[in-house]
Amino acid sequence: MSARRPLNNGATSAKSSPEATIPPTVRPETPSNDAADTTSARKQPPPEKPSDVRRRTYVILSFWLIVLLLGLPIWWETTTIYRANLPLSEMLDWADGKACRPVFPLRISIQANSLHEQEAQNLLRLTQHALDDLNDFSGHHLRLQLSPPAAKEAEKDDAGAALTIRLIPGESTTSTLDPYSPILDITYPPHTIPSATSSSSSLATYVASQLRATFAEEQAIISYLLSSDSMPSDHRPQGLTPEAADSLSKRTTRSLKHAPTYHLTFSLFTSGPLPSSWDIEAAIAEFMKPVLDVLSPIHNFTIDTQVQLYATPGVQNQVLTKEDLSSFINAAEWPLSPSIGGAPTVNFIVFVGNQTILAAPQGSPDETDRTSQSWLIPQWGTVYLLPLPSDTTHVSAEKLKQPLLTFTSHLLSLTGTPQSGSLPLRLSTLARIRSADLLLRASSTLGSLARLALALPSISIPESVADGVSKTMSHLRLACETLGGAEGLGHARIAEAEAERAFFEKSMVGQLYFPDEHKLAVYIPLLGPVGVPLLLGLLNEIKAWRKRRRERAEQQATKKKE
Amino acid sequence: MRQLFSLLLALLSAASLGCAASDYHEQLVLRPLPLSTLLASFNFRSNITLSAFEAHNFDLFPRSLAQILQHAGTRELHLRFSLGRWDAQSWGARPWDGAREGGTGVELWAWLEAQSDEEADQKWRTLTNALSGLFCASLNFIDGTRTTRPVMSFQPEGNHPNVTMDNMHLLYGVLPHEVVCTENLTPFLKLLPCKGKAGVASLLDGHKLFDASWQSMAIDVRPVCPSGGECVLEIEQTIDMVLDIERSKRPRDNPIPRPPPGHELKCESSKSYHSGDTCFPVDYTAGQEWSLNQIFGKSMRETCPLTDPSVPPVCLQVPESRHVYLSHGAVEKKNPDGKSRCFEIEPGTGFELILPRLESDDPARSAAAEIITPETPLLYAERSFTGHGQERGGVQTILRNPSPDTKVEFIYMESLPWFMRIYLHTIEARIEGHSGEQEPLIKEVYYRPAVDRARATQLEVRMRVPPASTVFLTYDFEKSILRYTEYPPDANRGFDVAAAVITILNPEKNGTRYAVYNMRTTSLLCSLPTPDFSMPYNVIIFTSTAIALAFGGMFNILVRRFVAADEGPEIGSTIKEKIGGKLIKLLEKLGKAKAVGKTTVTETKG
Amino acid sequence: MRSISFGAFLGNNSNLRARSYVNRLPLFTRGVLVAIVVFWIVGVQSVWDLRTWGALVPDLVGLSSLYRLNTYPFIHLNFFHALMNVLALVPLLERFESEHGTLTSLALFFGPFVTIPSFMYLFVEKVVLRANTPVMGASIWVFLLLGIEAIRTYKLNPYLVVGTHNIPTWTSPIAILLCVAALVPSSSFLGHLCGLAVGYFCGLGYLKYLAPPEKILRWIEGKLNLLGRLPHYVSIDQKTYGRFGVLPSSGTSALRLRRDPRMLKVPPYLSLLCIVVGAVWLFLLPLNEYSRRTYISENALLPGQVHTYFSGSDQHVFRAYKHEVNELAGKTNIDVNDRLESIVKGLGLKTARQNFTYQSAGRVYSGENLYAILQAPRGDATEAIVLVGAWENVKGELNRNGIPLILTLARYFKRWSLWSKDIIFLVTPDSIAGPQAWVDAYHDAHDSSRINSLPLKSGLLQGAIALDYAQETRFESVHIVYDGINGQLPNLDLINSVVSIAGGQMGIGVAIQEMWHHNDQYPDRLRTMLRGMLKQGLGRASGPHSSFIPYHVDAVTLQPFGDGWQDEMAMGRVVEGTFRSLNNLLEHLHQSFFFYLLMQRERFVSIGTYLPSAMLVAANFTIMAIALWVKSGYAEDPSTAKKQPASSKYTSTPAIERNLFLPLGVITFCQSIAIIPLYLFNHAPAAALPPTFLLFTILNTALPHLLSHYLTTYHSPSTQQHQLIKSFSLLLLGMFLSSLATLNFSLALLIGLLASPLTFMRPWPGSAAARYTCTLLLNAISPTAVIFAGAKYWGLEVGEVLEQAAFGWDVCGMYTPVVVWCVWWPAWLAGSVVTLGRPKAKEVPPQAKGEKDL
Repeated sequence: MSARRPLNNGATSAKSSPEATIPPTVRPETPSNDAADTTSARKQPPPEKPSDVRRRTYVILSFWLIVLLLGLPIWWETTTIYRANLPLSEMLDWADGKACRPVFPLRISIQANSLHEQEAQNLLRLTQHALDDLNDFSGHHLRLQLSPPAAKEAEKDDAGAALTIRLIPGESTTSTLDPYSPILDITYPPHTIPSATSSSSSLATYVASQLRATFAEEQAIISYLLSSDSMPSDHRPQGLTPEAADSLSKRTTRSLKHAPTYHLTFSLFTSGPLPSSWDIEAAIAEFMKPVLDVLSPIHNFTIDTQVQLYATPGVQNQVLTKEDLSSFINAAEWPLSPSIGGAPTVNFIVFVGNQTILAAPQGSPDETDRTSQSWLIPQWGTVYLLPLPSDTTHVSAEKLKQPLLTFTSHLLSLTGTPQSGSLPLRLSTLARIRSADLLLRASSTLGSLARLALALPSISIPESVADGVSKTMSHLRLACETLGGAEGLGHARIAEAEAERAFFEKSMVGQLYFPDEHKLAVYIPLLGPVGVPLLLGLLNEIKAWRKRRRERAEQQATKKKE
Repeated sequence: MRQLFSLLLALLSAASLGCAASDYHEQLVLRPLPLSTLLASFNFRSNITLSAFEAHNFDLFPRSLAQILQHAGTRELHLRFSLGRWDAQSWGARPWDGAREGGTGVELWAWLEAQSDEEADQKWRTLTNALSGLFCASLNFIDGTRTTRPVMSFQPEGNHPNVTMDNMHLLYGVLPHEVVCTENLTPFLKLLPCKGKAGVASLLDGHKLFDASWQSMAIDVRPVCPSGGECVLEIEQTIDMVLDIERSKRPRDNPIPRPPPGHELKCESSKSYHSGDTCFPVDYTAGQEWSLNQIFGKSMRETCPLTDPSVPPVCLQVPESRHVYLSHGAVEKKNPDGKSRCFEIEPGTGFELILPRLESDDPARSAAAEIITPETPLLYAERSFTGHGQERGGVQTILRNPSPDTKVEFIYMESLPWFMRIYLHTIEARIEGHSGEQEPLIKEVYYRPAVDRARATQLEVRMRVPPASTVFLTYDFEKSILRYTEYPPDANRGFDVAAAVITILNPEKNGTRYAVYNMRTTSLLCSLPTPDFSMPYNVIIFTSTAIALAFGGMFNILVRRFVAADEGPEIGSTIKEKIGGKLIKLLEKLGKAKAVGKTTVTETKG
Repeated sequence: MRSISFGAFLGNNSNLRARSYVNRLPLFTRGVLVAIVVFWIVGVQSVWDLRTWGALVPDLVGLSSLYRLNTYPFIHLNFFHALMNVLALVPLLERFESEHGTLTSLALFFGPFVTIPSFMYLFVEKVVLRANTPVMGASIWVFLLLGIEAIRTYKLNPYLVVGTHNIPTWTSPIAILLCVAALVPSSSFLGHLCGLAVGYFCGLGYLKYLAPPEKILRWIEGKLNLLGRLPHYVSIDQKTYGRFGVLPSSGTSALRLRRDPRMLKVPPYLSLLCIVVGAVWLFLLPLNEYSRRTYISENALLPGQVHTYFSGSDQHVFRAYKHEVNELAGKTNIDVNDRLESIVKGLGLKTARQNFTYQSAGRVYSGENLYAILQAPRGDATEAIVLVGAWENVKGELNRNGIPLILTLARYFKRWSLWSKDIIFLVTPDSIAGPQAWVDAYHDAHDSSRINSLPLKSGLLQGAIALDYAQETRFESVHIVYDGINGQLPNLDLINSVVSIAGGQMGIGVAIQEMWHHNDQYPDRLRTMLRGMLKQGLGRASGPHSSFIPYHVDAVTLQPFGDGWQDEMAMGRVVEGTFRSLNNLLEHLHQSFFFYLLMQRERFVSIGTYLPSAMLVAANFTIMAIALWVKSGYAEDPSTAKKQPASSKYTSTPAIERNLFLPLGVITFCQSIAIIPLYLFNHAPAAALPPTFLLFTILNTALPHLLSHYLTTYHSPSTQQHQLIKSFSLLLLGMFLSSLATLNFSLALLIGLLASPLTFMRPWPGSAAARYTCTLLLNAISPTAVIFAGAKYWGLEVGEVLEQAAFGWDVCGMYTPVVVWCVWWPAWLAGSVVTLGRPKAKEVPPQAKGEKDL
């Protein structure tokens, strides 16, 4: 090829040589006329074959088709960040408490077998009025009902009622709370029965006040929860004294985060080589099992035990002051790793050593939680200092009685059970508190998830998060409807778990970040040199096409003339 | 020596089976080695009845580990932390027949109970993650690319009921690059019932342990079902270390080996030129006296009260002729074989031991009298890379069978990273120093090829070495280029290749133990081609520009019309407004120029 | 007129033409030239600082100092600056003047052309950048004129066609501007830019009104009769309106350019320029502006950060070992190894031996290496460092202090527990073959029939230090030998760390390239660099370390020298410190440079800076080759250029077919017979080498004559075929050298410079005298002659040199002989054949005739 090329050069140059001998008279500043005389000499290229024209059109078109149909989709597919759409507004509503108004309707059945129907009704009405007068917090409502006198035994444990009041005629008005079942026995002198017409009755007010007293703590806790959460003011309970709120906050901080399962670890730490074995199984079975059984509808528990010798506490001095207690646990050396299963671990430590606690000063607020030998570590567990003769090799079950009883009581407060009232009452209260708590927590999680999604536009939101959210919200709705009941707790629990799962979705945590200049660095060199020829080709093609059309039109016009 | 260790093993296991649950043994065996080194092997063993284990009542059994085992459905666990290399040439056979050691770094293999492979993998992941948290080792980096499922090399040590055996999965992972150090020792000690506070464990000190020439920590958990008795889960913790006596005798506060004052040098006065300032030093190999306190930096505290008194806590293996000084309260018991002696320590008292230097004029005899000559191992193995360059290489393993009469049959296992693509056809075993014998050296090959970025290469070769001969096992491989995000920060260091596992099979097939001897080769450092990481974007830009230029050329050639040079339209006119004009104008003119440039194409086709 | 003279340049005696060109320089140009020279001379004296007086310093420009606006173009920084600017300015200025006349240029260049750019510069520098950088030099004019030229060219050929992309020609000065800004240090980009801008404006004619009106000029001329009085005065009427002003601009730039016969006349000058610039470039390197201070770029090394303890009673041990070694002096290799092995075993190290046998030039080099491995405590055999000691160093002296020192160090290192890598102590009988055998075997690159495999191995080698301590007395400083085989070099970081440990920490001087005393001045730097380049170019092993480097193991040899108060312990401490540094390494040495030229122990230039010189030299061949190819496409008729009127220059010479067979045949022949000398000199026994060389030299001188005679008689090649032969051989040469330059820069440069005359060789149909002078010249620079001269210069026997080469080729795999015999020699042969060729006078092809008629 190149060996032959100069030939046509020669030819062309030979042609163009005549102009070469124009005398140099014209200034370069007037290029117009030299352009003129050269263009005049210039001959036009032969007309292009239509097939070539078509071919070029096809080439350009196919390029553009590839770019548009293949390139762009692939580019789009590979560079977009997937964001499942979330019901943001609803989530925020939940967070602000607009979606659900937590109301705990408590049905209290009254058994007045010795009264006549309308007397009882009348008493009921009066008591209800009294209650409504006393009540100041709309979220927590007591509703009285009269259980028909017939078949009282059957009715004793009807599901709906949170508490049953038995009115028993007696000589004076007394009230006793049954320790093993939610029953309040009230004896009354007959003359206190209000007449059908009277608008007030001492008995009624008495009953009302009794009820109030019974449910005071629960109400306080719930109102505290609501207030601590971001609830609009109309739900805010009135008259929650600061010191009450203070003690409540202490308790809530102390109690563990709610979980369906708790993992109890009983450890025997000995400062020396002895004792090296203990009879923990029997002790647990004897002293702790009953309580665990009672708690089982709300939580279930897994238990493990261990013995650790040569365990040196974090504080060495003989008598432990209040400050030492916090640093007593030697976290570095004691193998108290939380259990793997995900369930929160509650540690119950029996420490056999020769250390004692300085007796707590009277009137200290959490004095109740602490005997002279044990203390409770908030959200973590309990340490019990067990003094033993140095040569004991085996710790028997009865030696463990006192520690385990302490552990039991501490376990209750760690799970957040209220102190007052009979056990069944406390547990049902616990269920209600928990469900309220979970409800609030789940909705606040939703809120923060929504805020996150709004704040980071470049974060990817996988599908799993979306359905997690939807599940949460459906369960929240159910929970909100059946609040105060057993299934309410279940729904709330599920909702909370789902919300947590959605919020801590792994693929959301690591979000990709490309600085814009990097994008530029990648795109410019490609799009510049590739894009410009493509565009220009297209433009030229369009121009040429226009031209051709015009020519065709002219030709037809000329044809018409002829 | 090996028999002795196996005897010990047997004895201990017998004892463990004899006694009831939750009993505990610990023993320290000291053995002076040639070149003034000392092998100290600690062994701790405790166990718990399976019933108590299931009931979560691990009283002395380490709870943290037990939880992990239960949570990951682990039936049998073997974990190894090793550092340095065992110098078989001079130190002879390995302690415990190599059963309690792994390759450099961390090695883990376990039998998991799972219905399917996926479930097994998932449990394996939990296990590694939990263990890495427990032992402060980056075990969680044992991912799919580092995990293999050996077929022939390992057999469960414990006895499992056959029903569980069916759905038990063996997984094996290794981290050659992991540097074992004190932070791994602390959790190890925490697992002991007496911690490091009492018993032989009180001798263990991080500084000394990790100053050792070779050290290996092992944890083995296996169910043991004694005949008749109740099944127990047995945990055995072993630490073997070879200490350089001279080095470890240095005081902790001044470890720098400053040259000693001239008069303290031990010289050979026999030399003619010997004088005050000229000193030919005596051989380094001459033994020297040592005591527990010097070697371990502290002497032993009282014995751990839990230990089974029938097992002597400390044993020393030196010829009977040598004299040993003991602290009071310790009683020396010589073993009948005349090679070792053990020391009974009465509870509550500490223990100290001094082995004085053997003064003798004749070096040859003294060497024999000073230490028990270590017995030769069944096999010597040495692995190294062959070839150089960055695209391909080879691996050569030299396997020497020292015994004059017995052949050795073993399984050679390699688990190679995926970026070493081995050519299986190049694998060959060449024999040297042994004639005749047409029987093939390689009996059986199990090969599981790697999947890029997903699975490691697994190569298991069952082969044998005839007596008194050396076999060269070689194969070639190709190094693949990684993506630049896959390189570690220290890419130019090279990539560690895990040690090869050699399991010497028991000659009598129905013997109690599957393997009579285990050993690991040293690990290797494979250097891959590494890019210059400073300029990924330059690379991107250059490549895309090149592509773009190529495209532009092709496109233009495709869409342009070729005409004769003088037929093209005139250009070069109306320059003034083109330059003087505004920018947009200029641009569009450029565009025009491009279009017009068709004509020029003819010219450039030279 | 310049163009005509330029066009005629290709005449025989070009220097005469050049003089005539200088003579014909017009008046104003001369004036400027003289002014610049004068100012430079004035600037030489140091009494009065001309530069501060005349330079354009933004802050100093006030009403009182407006003169700066006019003076700064004449004032230059230094000689190079002035020279470059003059070379660039004169042709442009000459053109401008001869177009627009002397008066106009005078007016312009003392008026707007100097003030406007400076005002622009002042404005930007002071107001916009708020900086105060003084500028000076005529380069601002250069760019101004370039701008004008560019616009003019653009009017004619708007586009330069590269591939299928049109590059507007008016951008070319910008390209130059950028190149200058990039390459030339301390060049004022802004100033140049201002000049260029003004140039563009002027070129577009916007500054026309600044030029004084013509009739006034005419009037002045008439009145003063300047034309009569002033020599070389360019009158208004003589003005040619630019040579290309009114040309018919048919066709496009590429077409025009190629058709322009002057294009075919440029290349010789271009390649000459390449060679000159290449050489000059090399001599610029030692200047501070081009070389850099060394620095440690691998942070892990931490050289000199550790305290070294090798001293005290270890010296007693050293003395003992020295006695042992002295007793061994003169014993056989085996005895030596036996004794040493027993000592090393006593230290508790693993030892092994390796036998090797090499055969080269009829001699047998055999011996036994002894090496010991100190296994890193807690280490795994993954990495290793090597400490090499040759029993005899390169000069054949017994390494009497080195070996004992190595033994003592082995004993000392054994005490430390901090080694993260194995340490291998290697004792070899000689300095080249032994290490080579060992390294080859270590990497399994050995031929196991002659070299034993290593019985004992460790991990990857991360570095090696060789000790060559033969001198008895105490030493003064350490000499670092770092050249590897084929000019490969160790990583600069290794040298740097040794320098900083020995020099910085121990206070021991460090020397390189046998520059025993180095005052950090230009001459010494240059000498050091040239020595380095020569060593690199020869590419032979310079010590025990050399064999390691091809395997990417960084290694140096340390040689104590001089008479000072440093004792062996100091040397040991240097080694200890270096080993501690290497021990710190986490990765293989990769941070710093592998291609560099050291010109002082703390100064170097990296490949980016020095490569251009070799590349330029290599490029000159390629340029010439391409030019010849193109040229050979035309019917060559030297007479046309002179006889025809100026206008017909633009008609192109007609093209003809190239017949490629003969040239290709000749080239193939030359290349293929190159195998003969290569084989000969690598396989002849040592005794036979000198006579062989003599014989070959004679043949070598005769061969071209025979070849050309054969050609002329049987094939009678035409000029074109001669051109093609030359073109092909140059093409090959250029290709080889430019690729070689990236591997072994020095070798490529040496060969390139030695072969550069080949570019200008051409057949001399007319004058036999010229032919024979050229032949003589060629023979003077023939490979054989160069080898002979080199040998004589360094006082060696030719036989030795050849033997060394053969040894290098056989043992170390050094490829210098290949380059000499298979790259340089064929090119030389082809060149001399071309020179001797007598092209037959050929008839003018028909088109050319037809063309002459019009």
